[in-house]
Amino acid sequence: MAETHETRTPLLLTGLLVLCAVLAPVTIYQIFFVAPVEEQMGIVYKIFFIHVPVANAMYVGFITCGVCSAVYLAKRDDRWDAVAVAAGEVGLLFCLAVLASGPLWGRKAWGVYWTWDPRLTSTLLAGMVFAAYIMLRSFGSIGEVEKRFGAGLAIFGLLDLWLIKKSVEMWRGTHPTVISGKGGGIHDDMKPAFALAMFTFILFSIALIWVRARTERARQRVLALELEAAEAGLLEEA
Amino acid sequence: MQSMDSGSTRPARLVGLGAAAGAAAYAASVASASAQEEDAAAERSQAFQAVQGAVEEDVPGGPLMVAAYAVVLTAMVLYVLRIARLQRRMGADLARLEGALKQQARSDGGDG
Repeated sequence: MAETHETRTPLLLTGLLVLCAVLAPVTIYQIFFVAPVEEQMGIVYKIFFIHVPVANAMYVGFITCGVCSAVYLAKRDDRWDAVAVAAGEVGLLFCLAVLASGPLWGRKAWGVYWTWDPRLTSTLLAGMVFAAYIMLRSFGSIGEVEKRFGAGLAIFGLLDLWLIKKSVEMWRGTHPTVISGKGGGIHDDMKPAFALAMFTFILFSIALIWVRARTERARQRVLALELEAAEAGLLEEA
Repeated sequence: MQSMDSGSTRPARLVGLGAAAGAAAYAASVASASAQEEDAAAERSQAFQAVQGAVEEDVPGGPLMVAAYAVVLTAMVLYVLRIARLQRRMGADLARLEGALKQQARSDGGDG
């Protein structure tokens, strides 16, 4: 396939991917070799350096999905729909990472992998809402009605994100509030590793959404060409 | 008359017995609660002792941390590979369809 303006990787995206590749080993070095071990929990607390950044990357994905779905409903432009699908998928990936890393920390800190804490439950709910969105959108060539229904589902998911954020303030639970709410924060020596991990994962989530959205645009183009080819009677020959 | 007296005093006796039983139950529950409080207080740590020999934790933190990083990073790598595979497939499909449509357009132009 000849490289066109649409298929060529933008310089900014290439730069973003290179930056992520450079930052990843630096972040891992900071987490494991520079940040000190926590007094009470020991080494298991280092899960915090991946759990909180992937949770923020999840927010980036789900919020982008919800906002782009709302814009799609207003404009009916497939480009917004492509970004929404990409962001929903990336958000779901990070949500699964949050739901996998959190219980492993909980096993040590709480003695159980899972408890029906408001923040845990609302995060699980968000994962289920966006999993339903991705399942709906993965049914091949879906129509306009399904796209609009999916967009509505993603906007509904935004409400749950607000619930995740507010759950530690509104209800009593066991989830720590070290960073958010009235938490006491982290030791100064832990801050560089944490800031770097947050920055790296947010950049990585943006890069993933961008790359996946380009793939989704290509898929939309393939579907349009398939329709054109079918009208020309070419698909029967293939 | 006697039967009337016995009839009027029986409910009073029953009430009295009930009240006595209630008071006894209440006293028993208070005694039990205070005993539990004492137990709860006794159960709390009242001294910290130094460990003898090697330290062994019931839930090892290291494997849990390694598992968390392994799960998250593996998921990221698998997703990147999935996107790469999807991109290759879309690229091939686009090339095939665009080629077929161009060829069709050329043959239509030649026929015309």
